[in-house]
Amino acid sequence: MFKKLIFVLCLSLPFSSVFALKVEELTTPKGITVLYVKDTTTPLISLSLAFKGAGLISDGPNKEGAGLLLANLLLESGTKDLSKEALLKKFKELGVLGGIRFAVDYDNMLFELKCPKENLKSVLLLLQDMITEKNQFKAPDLQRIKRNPLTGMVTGRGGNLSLGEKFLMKQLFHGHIYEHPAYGMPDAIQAMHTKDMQEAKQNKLARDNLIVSVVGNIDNQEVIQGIDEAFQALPGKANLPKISMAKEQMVSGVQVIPEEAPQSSVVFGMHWVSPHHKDFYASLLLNHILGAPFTGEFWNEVREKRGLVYRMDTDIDNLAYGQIWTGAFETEHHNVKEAIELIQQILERIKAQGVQKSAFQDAKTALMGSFALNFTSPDSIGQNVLGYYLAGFGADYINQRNQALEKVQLSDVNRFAKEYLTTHKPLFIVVGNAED
Amino acid sequence: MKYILFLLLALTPTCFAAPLYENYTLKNGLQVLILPNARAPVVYHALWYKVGSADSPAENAGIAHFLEHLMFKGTKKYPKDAYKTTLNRIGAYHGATTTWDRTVYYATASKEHLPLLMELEADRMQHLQFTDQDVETERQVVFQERYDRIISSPIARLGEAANASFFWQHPYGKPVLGFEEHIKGYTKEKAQEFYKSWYATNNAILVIAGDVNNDEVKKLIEKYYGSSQQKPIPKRERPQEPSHQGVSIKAELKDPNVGIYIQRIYRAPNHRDLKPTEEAAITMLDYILGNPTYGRLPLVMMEQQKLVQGVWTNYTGYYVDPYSFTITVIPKNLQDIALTEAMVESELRRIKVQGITEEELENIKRLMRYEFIYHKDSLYGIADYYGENLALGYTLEFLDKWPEVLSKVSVDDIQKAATALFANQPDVTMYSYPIVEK
Repeated sequence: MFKKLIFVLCLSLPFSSVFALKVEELTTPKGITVLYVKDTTTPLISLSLAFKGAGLISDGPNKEGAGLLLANLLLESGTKDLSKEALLKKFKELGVLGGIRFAVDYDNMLFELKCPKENLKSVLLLLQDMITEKNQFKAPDLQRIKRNPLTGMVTGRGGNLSLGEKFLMKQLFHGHIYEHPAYGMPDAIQAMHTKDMQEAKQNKLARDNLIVSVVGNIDNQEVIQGIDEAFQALPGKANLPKISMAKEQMVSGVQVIPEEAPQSSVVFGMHWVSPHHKDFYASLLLNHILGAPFTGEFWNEVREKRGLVYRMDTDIDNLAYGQIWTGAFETEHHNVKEAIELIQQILERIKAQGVQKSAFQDAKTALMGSFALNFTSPDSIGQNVLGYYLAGFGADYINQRNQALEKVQLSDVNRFAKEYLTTHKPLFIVVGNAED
Repeated sequence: MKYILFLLLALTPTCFAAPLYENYTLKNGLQVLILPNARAPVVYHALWYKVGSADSPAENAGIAHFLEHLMFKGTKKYPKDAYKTTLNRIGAYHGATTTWDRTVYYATASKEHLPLLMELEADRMQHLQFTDQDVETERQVVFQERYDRIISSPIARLGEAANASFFWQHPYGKPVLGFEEHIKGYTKEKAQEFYKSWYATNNAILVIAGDVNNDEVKKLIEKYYGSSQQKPIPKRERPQEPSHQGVSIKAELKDPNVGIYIQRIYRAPNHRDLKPTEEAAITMLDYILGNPTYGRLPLVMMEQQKLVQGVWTNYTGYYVDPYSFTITVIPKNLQDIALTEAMVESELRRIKVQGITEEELENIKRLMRYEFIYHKDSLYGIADYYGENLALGYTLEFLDKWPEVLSKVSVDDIQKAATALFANQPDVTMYSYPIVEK
């Protein structure tokens, strides 16, 4: 029988943001991790699959982009009985109306699909034919993909990097694999053969790094059997390189990449704390107070009061081996200096004086209030539950996150800001012909 | 207060999770639909008004859309930008959209904020206030919106011209945003007049979906919307389109920045004049001809002949008044335009003369059954399905029977629909060519 690792019950929580949904983390007899969410309100089953660690980080030197090519190739080469077109048609016939979506990011390789419950068995069998049963890849299939490796690709984080973002990542992660874009290196991609794909498949796709989230009106036994059947032919253990945490590169200041453009684009960023850091939730609040669109300090000062930019927001990226805090805006060339100085001044002020009590309370209400809005459909539940799990949060994060936020005090945010902003300053990358 | 509990009929054997809704009407005429769904602790609040741009006075085309912008300008209790700042503070999503036939204001928030969402929406239904300055500011915003959506896009400009040629009389011929001249002419008084005429409980449908307790929601609705008075609402009598007497109009655009694009626009009847089975037959004809997986046109023109980059159809029947059935073709080469058009004609002839096979019909029925299931998957899908269609004048009974009506359509019904729809050449055909006129 399967081993139940965690069974999360929604005990009575003090406030109303309680999910009726429970996330169960299960391990199948074949060693596959399943995040199971029973949702009786939908006749569909949403499946999200992640091969953990099968993203850029396991591509290996001079093979950057192997994971991306492999994900494409699995679909492009159909099954042993069906061409790609016939396979897609078969999925449609089975009610997989959204098709098979896939993504490769820095860390992981992901697949997603939805189907009516009555067809789940047949759909899993097709997935089996598509992913696990394939022993040989054909060169013409690979050639087609190489011509345009981003076709059909839903790249996740790091998918469509602008020039500035690429530059920023290069500086923040100098010497670490994250310095390369998640979609690999063009030369490496062109040089790869079917043999490389065979190897990548053998190394990256295994049962022990497969995590599947399943949302729908289905019982857990059925889920476990179906998934074990579909993926039993995969190797038991993935062969992934050991990756170390990225060293914090203490780069700051302003760098300009000259480029003819109607406006300058500016990205900025610095290393941030991980989900396991004691001040992670304080850092979420600080980020919101600084960089939330419409309400944040940056928005108020740079957009509302001075009208220098149209958009202005910041975000936290939790990569498996390094976390960063980034922001972006566009502005007229002659406004770049003023906008950057404003941001630097705001950071200095918050470091010295802390944040306002009202801003702190508003940030708490907004962050807690908006969280549940990510869960309005079964597929968004599946994707988010899997996403949080991969980012290092527990399976029960959906029910713990707001409780953790609730506990944070104004003094925690101010102490964190003071400590962190003393040792960390963002690096600004300007793309355009900024003056000075 | 009278209300009836409806049980949604299971659509098909596969759709076992039939959602429950509760439907009733307040004394002041506000129609209420509550769709409980406890999946996540969120609530979706949408207020649909049965008024859109086609109800604007002819000289103020688009004022319905302009008013939508002004609805964010505040009330006495929540002045200026209080609506937006309040919702941002609680982490809610919000927005509004206007079509020719309806206007909707919606917000999604963590469920404990439902009273606030309701208070804000009920408040601006009755107590909206805006200044001449607000009118000027929003006029500039709407000019910009029109520029971004229409003027900057050659195909959108062509579509606008084709639409004007398709409707000589009916207000659907004017853009939802209005033309520049209309936008210039809006005044505070005109916008207020429109607001006072059309915005009232008895011209609205309130849809609440999410993790709610029906009894608590009903109390809140009574508290916030119950005291609002109903008022006489103008009849939606738009000038109807006269017969075009067999005249077929061509609209052309030659621009080096566009692709090749052909759209044939046929006049099509809708639920106003059709029996449900007839409406269902045209709906399915749309799939039979144009569906990317099973449709005849993509099969012949893309897969077999490889002459086009894309081909699709669209039945725009879901309007208050009759609209169109369009066939859009993107030929790969300029010299193939005549050939692709001949191919479309030949496929239309084939369907009129030979009809369709049972197998084709079964494929489409299965697909539509799946689409219905998908429709009801997310919180918004099902809530908007009801809200939108109720605002267009469909009844709940009709909407709940619709899957069954579709499942009973026969191959003969579809042949009949095709014969009637494609009896003549399209009223309007639009062409764009990526060439410079010499």
